[in-house]
Amino acid sequence: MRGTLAASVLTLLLTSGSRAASRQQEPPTFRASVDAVLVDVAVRAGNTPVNDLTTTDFALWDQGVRQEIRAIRTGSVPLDVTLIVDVSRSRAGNLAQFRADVNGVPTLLQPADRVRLLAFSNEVTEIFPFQPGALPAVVNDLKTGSFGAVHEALATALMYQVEPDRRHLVVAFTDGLDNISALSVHTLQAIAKRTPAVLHLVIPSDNRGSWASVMELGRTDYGDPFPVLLGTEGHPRYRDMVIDAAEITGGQEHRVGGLFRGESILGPLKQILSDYRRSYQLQYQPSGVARGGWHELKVEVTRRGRYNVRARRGYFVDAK
Amino acid sequence: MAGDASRRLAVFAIVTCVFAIGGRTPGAQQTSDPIVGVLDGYAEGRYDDALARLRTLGSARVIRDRLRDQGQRWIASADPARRERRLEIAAIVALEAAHIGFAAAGQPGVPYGTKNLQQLFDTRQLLEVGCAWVRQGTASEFERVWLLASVALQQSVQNHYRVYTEIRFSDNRTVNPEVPFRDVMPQYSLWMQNADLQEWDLAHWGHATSRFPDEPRFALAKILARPEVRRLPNRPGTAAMFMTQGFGSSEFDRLPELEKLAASVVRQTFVDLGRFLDRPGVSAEANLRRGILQFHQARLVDSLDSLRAATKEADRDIAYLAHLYAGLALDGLNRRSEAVDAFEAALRVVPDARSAVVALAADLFQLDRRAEASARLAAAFARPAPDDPWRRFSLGDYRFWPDYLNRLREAARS
Repeated sequence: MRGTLAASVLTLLLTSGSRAASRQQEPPTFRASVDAVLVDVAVRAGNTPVNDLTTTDFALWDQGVRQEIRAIRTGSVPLDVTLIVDVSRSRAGNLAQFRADVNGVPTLLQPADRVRLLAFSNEVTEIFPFQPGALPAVVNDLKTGSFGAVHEALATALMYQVEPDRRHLVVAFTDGLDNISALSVHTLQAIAKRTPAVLHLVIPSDNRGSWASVMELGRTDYGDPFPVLLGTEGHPRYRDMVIDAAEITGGQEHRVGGLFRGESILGPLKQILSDYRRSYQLQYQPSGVARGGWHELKVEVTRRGRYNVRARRGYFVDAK
Repeated sequence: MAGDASRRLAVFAIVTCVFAIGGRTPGAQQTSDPIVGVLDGYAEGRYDDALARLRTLGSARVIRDRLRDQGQRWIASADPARRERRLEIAAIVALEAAHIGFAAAGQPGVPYGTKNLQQLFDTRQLLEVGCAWVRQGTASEFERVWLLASVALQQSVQNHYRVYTEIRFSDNRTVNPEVPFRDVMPQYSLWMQNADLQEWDLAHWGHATSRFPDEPRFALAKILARPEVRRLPNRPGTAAMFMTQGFGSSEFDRLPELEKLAASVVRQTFVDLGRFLDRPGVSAEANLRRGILQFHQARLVDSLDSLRAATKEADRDIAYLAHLYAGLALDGLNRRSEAVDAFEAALRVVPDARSAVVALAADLFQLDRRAEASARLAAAFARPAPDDPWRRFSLGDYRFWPDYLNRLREAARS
């Protein structure tokens, strides 16, 4: 379409040129008028990524105010990729397959990329910290548990301080059902509004999200009639709120059949990485808008044609 | 802790006679029975070896039957001076077997599948075998600790069913179990009819409280069994909402009814907890539970008052949870800087506990102290995760199980 089908920005980096080289310091935020916003945007025509767009092909609104796009970057920026895998009892269907999959992750990464692996069940575990993408990715110790600390795992990843010259992509393989985190889904969403990372959720397609089907899944998968009876966010649309957190960041949910039942994670991961590398980063300096609070974003493609644009919904700046 | 051995043995003699009349011969011990090897090994302090052998004996039902029969004979076959100790050993082995049995049906605290129902029920009866042994004679310290340990195991597996019938409201109403069990939760109905778990729990509490009416932890256990109190404490919300999980949209029509029921239970629970707020030994836990209930009712300021009363508790789980909840309540009041202090206090109690580390980082992140948030997470994840009291919140007194077991073993050795 001419414009936006669904606004989504793939990564938002709050940065400023004066601080861009400072890797160890607090990431630059909206502290002065010279601050710049980096907005990741993925554009598709049908199922095909569109990767020949220029600054003049985009229109961007911040709080409803049209902004001037100063620069555009494409897929050359190295990635920090955080993989999150649900190994709670409900999801840890095939750990041997998972280990083999992790061994194959380096084949999907570029030399300048880095990868980190988190696993979670009752709590979050860092299987290995960020390491060069080309290094062997090995899972030595994997402890499964009875519950799923989804919120804590996602929040832990999203709060990682990415370096200014890199992009942070978080890909979580989970059913999205939390039943033990101390963090609420609302806090997860608050973090999603502030993180520069982009979150994608890969969810089993046979797990449709109503509590009735959760119950069915429990019966067929591992014999518990009430797998999520206690502690889960007691809201029928609860998981939608987790997916919403991903969409706030410019990510989305991906439904995959057979996930946790032998289906490799490498297929969806490859697709997500490929799409992300072919996305754009738009840079602008906000003008005409109040500095603090939630900034709602809208991105459109002005070139003639029908495009599906996915971009972050907005970003949050502390008022101080 | 040895207690009143002579009176206990007098009762035991009667029990032995009953066995003899029934055609069983306590004195004719069959040393070839593997349970005897387990008991002998345990009596000699070879715990790991004994437990390894115990795990090979079969299902909880098999072990229950062997303990009840051969264990009884093993006790009776000793000379009178040694019978008391053998009885204690056999009772501890019953506990150990129950612990193994629950683990075989699922991890403690994990919902059980129907396929494990029989295992769960048989394991309960294993505890009952031991309970019948320790309740002989005059109440002793050994018996008190044994019952505390058994209640701890009992609480560890209460996550998946509801214990309602014991609740009597101030106006003499009682909870109608038909609502949660029969109509809204047909599977539970089947479960309860088959396993009789609720009745077993109530009967066991009855044993404990009748023997030790002044032990507040037994009375508190009844309150903590209520699902509104036991549910994993994610966040404020209506107490009944979690009941809807696993059901289709038609069941949501029952929500008002369930809400009403749950609200009644919560109101009564406040009244019941009030009796324990100043009781030595359980006051901190009672205050913590009250604070959590208030938190879930979004009475955040009230919650803070209750939680502060619990933060000075020596029990690290209680102190940690009181600080953690205070942080969550302060977050709810948008007093984020104070929440940071509360989470820091929790981490002084249990360093690197994941629940507080992530909650702390989330506040720092939202306070725009992002580098600090990231660094705190990185530092914590670089170290092994400690046992997090948050994760075992719903398991109740199960956190005391290792201590109780050690005390029982020590008593049986002396």
